[in-house]
Amino acid sequence: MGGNRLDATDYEIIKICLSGQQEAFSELVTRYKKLIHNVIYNLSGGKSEVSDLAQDVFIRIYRSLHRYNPDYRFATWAIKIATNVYLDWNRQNKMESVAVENIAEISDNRSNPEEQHLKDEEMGRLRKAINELPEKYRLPVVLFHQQGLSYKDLEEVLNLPVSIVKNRLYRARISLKGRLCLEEE
Amino acid sequence: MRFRCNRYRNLIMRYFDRTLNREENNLLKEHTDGCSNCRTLFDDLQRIMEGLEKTVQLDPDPELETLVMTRIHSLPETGNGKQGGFIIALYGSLCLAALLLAASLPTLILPGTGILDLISRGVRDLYSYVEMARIARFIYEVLALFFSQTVSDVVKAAYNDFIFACFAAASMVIGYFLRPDWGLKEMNK
Repeated sequence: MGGNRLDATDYEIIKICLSGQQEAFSELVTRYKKLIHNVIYNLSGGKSEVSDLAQDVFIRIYRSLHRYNPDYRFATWAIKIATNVYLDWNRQNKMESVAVENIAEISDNRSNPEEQHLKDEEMGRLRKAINELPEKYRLPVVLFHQQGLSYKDLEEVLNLPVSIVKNRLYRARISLKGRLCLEEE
Repeated sequence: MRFRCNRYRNLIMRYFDRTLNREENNLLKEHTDGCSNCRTLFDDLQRIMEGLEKTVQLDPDPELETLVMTRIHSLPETGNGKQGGFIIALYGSLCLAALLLAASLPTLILPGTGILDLISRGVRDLYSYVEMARIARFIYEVLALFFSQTVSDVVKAAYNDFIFACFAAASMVIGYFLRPDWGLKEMNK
């Protein structure tokens, strides 16, 4: 049964779950836990509640399995639920800035410590600037540039027409540039 | 110049959308080589986008599957959304039935006071007016026929009206049994 599940498509696993076999859902969790974790991490700006939020996302996915439309990719649908879970959580909890030192950065082994520190500082400022963006601009930036979603995916996840998504993404880019260049001055 | 730069700014945005074709790419490069404002904008955005897209993919909590499945096993058996929808529909129907019962309750407890009584009284009044008009017409016809027609014509007309009156009486009797305070009691007050 385990071997069969590894070959099964997402929709086949969902049908097994809906037939009453709860354990089949663990396969979906295994497949998408890294994606969901990183979506929540990037949307929340690295808050400590990421793990709890990721669990909440999967619980909501489980409860909504009967609503899944196989015409769409499961990953996109899961990201949509993750985005909604994050938005619900954000409304209840005031978003606080994350200290630059707590943000996970990339370690480039080719850089010397000083260069690496400068890179980390730049990434920290970028992360801070993203966190300070209004939600309606932050979501498209994170989902498009950090999660690699297409405009079509964004249309589905954000439930907005492509024209509006594009407009918000463009404004977000200009806003980020304005904030970062102002800091440099 | 500004108009042209606006056009190229749109191309810059589409560059970061990864939707430029080769010709547009060349056009953009040619313009940014000659326009310092657009060059600055492009370089700044490129630095930002590279920073965004260089974000590391973190590994989640290794216990995430166990934690999720433990929570799922403890969920109550609520069934799927269709059952939930049925429950909502049933609840809505019960609320509507309760509302109708509440509207008709005064009628059941105190006849003559509820909404249904108002409706039945209106219908009865309308019927009685129609019936009075019919009786008046009957009398007129009888008199008219008496003075202008033969006896058989008068009898035929009276017979037609008598049949109609029987139907009217039958409906009133049926109405009396269905609505105890309808018709006779009201008329005898």
